[in-house]
Amino acid sequence: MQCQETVTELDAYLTGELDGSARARVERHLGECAACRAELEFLRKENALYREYASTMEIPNGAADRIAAASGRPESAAHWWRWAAAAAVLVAVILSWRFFATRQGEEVAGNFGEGQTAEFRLHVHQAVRSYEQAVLLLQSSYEGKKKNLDPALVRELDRNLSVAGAAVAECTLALEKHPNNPQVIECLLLGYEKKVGILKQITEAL
Amino acid sequence: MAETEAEIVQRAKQGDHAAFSLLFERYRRPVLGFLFGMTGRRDSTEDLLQETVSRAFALLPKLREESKFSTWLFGIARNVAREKGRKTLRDYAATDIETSGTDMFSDPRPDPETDAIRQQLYRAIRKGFAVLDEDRRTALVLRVLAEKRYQEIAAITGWSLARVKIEIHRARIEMRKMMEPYLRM
Repeated sequence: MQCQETVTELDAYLTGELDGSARARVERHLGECAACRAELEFLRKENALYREYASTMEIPNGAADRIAAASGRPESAAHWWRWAAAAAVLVAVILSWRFFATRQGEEVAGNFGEGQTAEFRLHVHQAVRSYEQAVLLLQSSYEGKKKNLDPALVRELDRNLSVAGAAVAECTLALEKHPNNPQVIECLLLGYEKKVGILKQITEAL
Repeated sequence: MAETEAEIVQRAKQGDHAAFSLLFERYRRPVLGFLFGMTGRRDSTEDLLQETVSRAFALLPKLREESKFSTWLFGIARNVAREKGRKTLRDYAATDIETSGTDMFSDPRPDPETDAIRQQLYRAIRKGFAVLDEDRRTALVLRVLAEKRYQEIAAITGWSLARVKIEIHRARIEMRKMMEPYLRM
């Protein structure tokens, strides 16, 4: 076994992931090669450093519980409307801010102080999250019932959803480039509204 | 006899909230580590974790092989990181390690026992992950931050075992170049 072959196996060797013959080959080489023994030792320290680095990562106290509670709640698809309603309230707030801003003849961000801009973005972010939750619940319900539907109808419905999804994806990308552009924000929120609307029609008809 | 993970997943699929919470608790740290390593931002990692867990919960009824829950979950996390983390990573790759002490990438919970050199080393690691190409970053982050075994990384990425080993080895070499100045201090 050569050094080049050995070094790519050392990490798996350290964690006991090599089978008997591969492990024996690595050990034979390590017995003969000081450079690979040094590399093994370095790798051990490097892994410890990565573990130490990983241990610095934690989300704020209570956040994990909130996520578990929000995501794992046995929420019925019938509750999608709660999320859609939450999104609608936020959209109304966002549009009223935009109306105020455009009356002044400027873009939204240009009109607000830093704190207000952050608040505005937070509203947009929360509206998007609410729409996504509504979409997830409705989509989950639709996926569960798909197998009982006419395949031609499923193809048609999937095509409509795909068009709405593409519009949302396009606006999301545009928002990355122009985070303060009110037209882009409006386009994104309308895209979500349309997607939720299509899914709502589907699930109500099923 | 202790319940297997596949059995817990089966219960979660049937709507058992306690089973889903158990899975969440088991995978929270490795998924968090993976998302953080992939995006480089602590402040958005919570959102990404929320997104991953929400999708997992919604899609769980469609999971066919309960024994492959971990692989499936990291596949979802990988998609979330790809979709949502692209922009933050680009920003991050452009930052300067030396001057980023108070920027959005610094540790918001400074540990009094962690000295300045250690902080710079952590920043170098974060920046190192940010400048790796996506495949190498995925492989190394799964290995060292999510502590996945080689076989599982191959299953998550769809690559051969040989390719996984090479990607990780090359990623380590690139990361060492970034960390080296701080390891010598």
